[in-house]
Amino acid sequence: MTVRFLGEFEQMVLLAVLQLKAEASAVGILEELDERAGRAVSRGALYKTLERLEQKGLLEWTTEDGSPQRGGHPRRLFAVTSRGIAALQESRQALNRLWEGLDSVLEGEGA
Amino acid sequence: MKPQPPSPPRIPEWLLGRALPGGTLGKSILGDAREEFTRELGRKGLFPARRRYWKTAFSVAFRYAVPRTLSSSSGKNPRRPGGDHMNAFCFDLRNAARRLLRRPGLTLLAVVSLGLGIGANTAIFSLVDTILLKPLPYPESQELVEAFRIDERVTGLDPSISRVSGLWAVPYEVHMDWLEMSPVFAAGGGYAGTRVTLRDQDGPASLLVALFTSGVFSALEVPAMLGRTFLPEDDAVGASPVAVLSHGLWETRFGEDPEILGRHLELDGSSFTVVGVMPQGFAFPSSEYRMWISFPDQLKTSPVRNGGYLKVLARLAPGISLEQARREMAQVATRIGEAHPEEAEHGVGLFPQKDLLLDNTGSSLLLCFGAVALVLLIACINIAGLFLVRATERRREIGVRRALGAGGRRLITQHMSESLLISLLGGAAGWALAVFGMQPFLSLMPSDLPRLWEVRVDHNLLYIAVGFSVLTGILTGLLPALKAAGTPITSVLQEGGRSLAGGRSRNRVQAGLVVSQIALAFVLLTGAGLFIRSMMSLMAVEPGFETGQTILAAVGTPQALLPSGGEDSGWEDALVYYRDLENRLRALPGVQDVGAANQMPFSGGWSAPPATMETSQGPWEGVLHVAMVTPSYLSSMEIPLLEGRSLSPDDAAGSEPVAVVSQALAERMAPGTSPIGLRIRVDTRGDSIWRTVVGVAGDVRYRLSQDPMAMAYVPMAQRPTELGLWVIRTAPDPAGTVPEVQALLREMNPEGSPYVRLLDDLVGESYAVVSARFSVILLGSLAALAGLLAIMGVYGVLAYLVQLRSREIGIQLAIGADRRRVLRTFLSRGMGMAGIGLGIGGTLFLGLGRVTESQLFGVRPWDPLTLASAGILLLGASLAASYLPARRAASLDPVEVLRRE
Repeated sequence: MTVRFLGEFEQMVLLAVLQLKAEASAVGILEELDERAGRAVSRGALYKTLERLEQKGLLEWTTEDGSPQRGGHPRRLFAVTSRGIAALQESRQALNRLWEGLDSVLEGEGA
Repeated sequence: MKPQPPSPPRIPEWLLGRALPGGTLGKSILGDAREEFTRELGRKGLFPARRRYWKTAFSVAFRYAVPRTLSSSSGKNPRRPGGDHMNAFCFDLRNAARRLLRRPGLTLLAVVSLGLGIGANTAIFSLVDTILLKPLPYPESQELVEAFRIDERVTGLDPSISRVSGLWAVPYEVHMDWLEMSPVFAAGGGYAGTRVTLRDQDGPASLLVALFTSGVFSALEVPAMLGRTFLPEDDAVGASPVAVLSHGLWETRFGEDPEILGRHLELDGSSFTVVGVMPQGFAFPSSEYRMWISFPDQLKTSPVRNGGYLKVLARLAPGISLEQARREMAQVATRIGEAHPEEAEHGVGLFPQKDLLLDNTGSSLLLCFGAVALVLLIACINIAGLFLVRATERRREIGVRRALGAGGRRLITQHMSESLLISLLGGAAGWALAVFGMQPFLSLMPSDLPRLWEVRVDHNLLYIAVGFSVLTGILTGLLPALKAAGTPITSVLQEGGRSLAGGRSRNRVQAGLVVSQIALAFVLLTGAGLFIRSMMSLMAVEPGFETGQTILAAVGTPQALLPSGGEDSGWEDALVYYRDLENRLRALPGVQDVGAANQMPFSGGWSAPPATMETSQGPWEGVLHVAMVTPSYLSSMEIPLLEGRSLSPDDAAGSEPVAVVSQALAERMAPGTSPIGLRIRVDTRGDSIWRTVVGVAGDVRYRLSQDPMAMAYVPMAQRPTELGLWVIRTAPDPAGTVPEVQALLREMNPEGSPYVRLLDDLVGESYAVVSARFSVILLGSLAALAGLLAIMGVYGVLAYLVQLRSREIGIQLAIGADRRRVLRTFLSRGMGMAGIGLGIGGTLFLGLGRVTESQLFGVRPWDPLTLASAGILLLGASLAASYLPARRAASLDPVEVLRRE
């Protein structure tokens, strides 16, 4: 089964995880979204989204032992699954199809 | 020993621990929050780190705890004592929501009254805070002062603004003297407002602009956002005219053109070079001014020292106090008086800019703030009453639950969850009201209210107001909850269902709350009533002249026509010009009469030269308001002639010098008899001609709230001066004639920028009327709100009482009680509460009324008519509010009621 629709925020989270490669912790994802996408994200929304993506099988995580900086609490490291990558590609292609032929219109507007 | 690094705040940490699921997931999120805290601590410091942690805790707790408690598939049983506390609390909240929904009317009542209280408080306090408490938006704004010409013979040296009878603007020449001769200013300059027409490819646009010398910009110390402000070179005679744009004008008219600097703008036919754009928010003298331009040469070189149009803004030099500056300026005035003897009586008034800006808006705002605080108090009393009633209602339920083993702590939290929920909802409603209602609210304010453009909803205040409401909720919920938890089980259960109405003492507390609401509402209503009466008496004041169908045009005279020395001779050209202008104005369609004067009421400051006059008790010396007028001025203003003759065209330069005096001056010259034949001498310009009084004209007022002035009218032809104010009386439609007047004035004097208004508008916008209207709108709406809340309180309590006692009433009716009697019982109960409330409110007002006294005009604070009308209004409304529940009680069906039990 492929996941047909990814929400905008879901896409952003998956892309942020990919950008961070092996270092994708929740705090890292927050900073990545803030820096790259200029989006200040509610913590609750992020955790719920991560949970949902994991349930859909698009994301998986492993744990790492906690440092004193984290009060000894464990750290989760996220990675995008192959299904996650497929879903991202599909979303991108769908968007690309929608963009087709609109360059002149949108560039004219945006300039 | 190494100091321990700061740890996250404990309350949100606890909240997180409670809200998050157990296991790795929960722990890892806790760890994330901790890690973010540590990072933020390193980057931004302790406070931002803590704030971040709080936000995270709330956001996460909201996402995890709320859905869990709302879905009933929760694994634990929250009803069991000792279960998960967070869950139990959310369970209570859910339960409370259900209970509240079962009584939508009462819930709405509580939420709306609290919301109105919080919203109004936040709005008004934002206003008070911006206008009164925040410093002006200029660096070190407490050093900014404004200087005026004052008359020391009238005011003495008392520096308080309220004692000064007039703050006069000054001519360019005088302001230069002040700034040059005084060492107490770090910077300073003169400014004046004017209206110009900007012409460019987008067509003409009429703009309010301010003439600025460079010193005003230096005193304000606000740099330009783009380019520069004015430099001292721009003040020099012969310098090319320059302009600085406001951010708003730059944005709307010039599309934020970054290349705007150096562009030439055509303003009233002259070319100005744009040298700068001010940052957003720069608004001096107010936000209505769209552009700042340099003074034209003709104003810079004018030798005139009388009258004036300039205000002077200055920044005190470092280390100079206002007192020192005042002493220094008094010496400057003395030195000027030595050089120009006719100015010997003129002093310099120096006032902090903020005081001037606020004048007496301050006290009326504080009054409003007091009123608003009363409204919130009433709202809180409303809520308290409501919870008290609910606690009564639930006594039995609680007894049963305690009997079944419910712990006191659980009962208390349960009770409080309900009040907490109401206050949260009320807080949300208040927040929405403040945020969305602020703009409509501000649009009700008079537009010349100082600093209005800076007012924003202050979110900190909003948090405080919401916090206050939550506190109210907790406190009002806590009292009945503690009582409920402490009530002996048996006593409640023994009552059975029979005395649900609660004990006598509880009813008394409830009634006491309603009574205090009525009392407070009465205070507010009376206050509002007084302001309405005050405004009515202001409106009823006769200014002494006819304002309807009259156009006032303020316009300069072409410089070339005025005598070069500005003195006594060489007026021939100007006189011809004035005659010509008058004739051409008369020729316009619809124009019935035309007059002109050098000064007149409601059009700015008055100059009052020193004068000597003969009176029936001997000679008198002092300052006198003198207006130089054309013969038809009195008739065009419809100022009535009371005695003798009016001025006529025959009073020419060569004939006998004459004057007409106002009734107030006539009283001073010859109390009880006629002043005709007595003489007046105006001692300026070295002119010492005795003028014989030939007539007495009706009094006119300079301001509506002031007594009529003693003044003299002197024919213009006998004492030529520059005539700037033209009065044009027209047939029915004066507004239709305005454009033609404007066009004619432009044609006659292309350099001048005529200011044409309807006299009616001018009087309507005068300060006294505007500030009275402001108080009426604000206090009126607050009083209406307070009255509404109090009436809702009366209704709420009675409606509840009827509901709780329906069984008792049913039985009474069943055994033959008279329905009318039941109706009367409840009505008299409601009216009793209202009556006692009015009594207390009246007493309160006798004590508090004094604070309104300085704000009122033509009405005393203890005005019986106002007190009576406010009382009747509240009594009537209480009667209506009691009637509905009373009727319901009287029309109960006994069979139905008893069956329900």
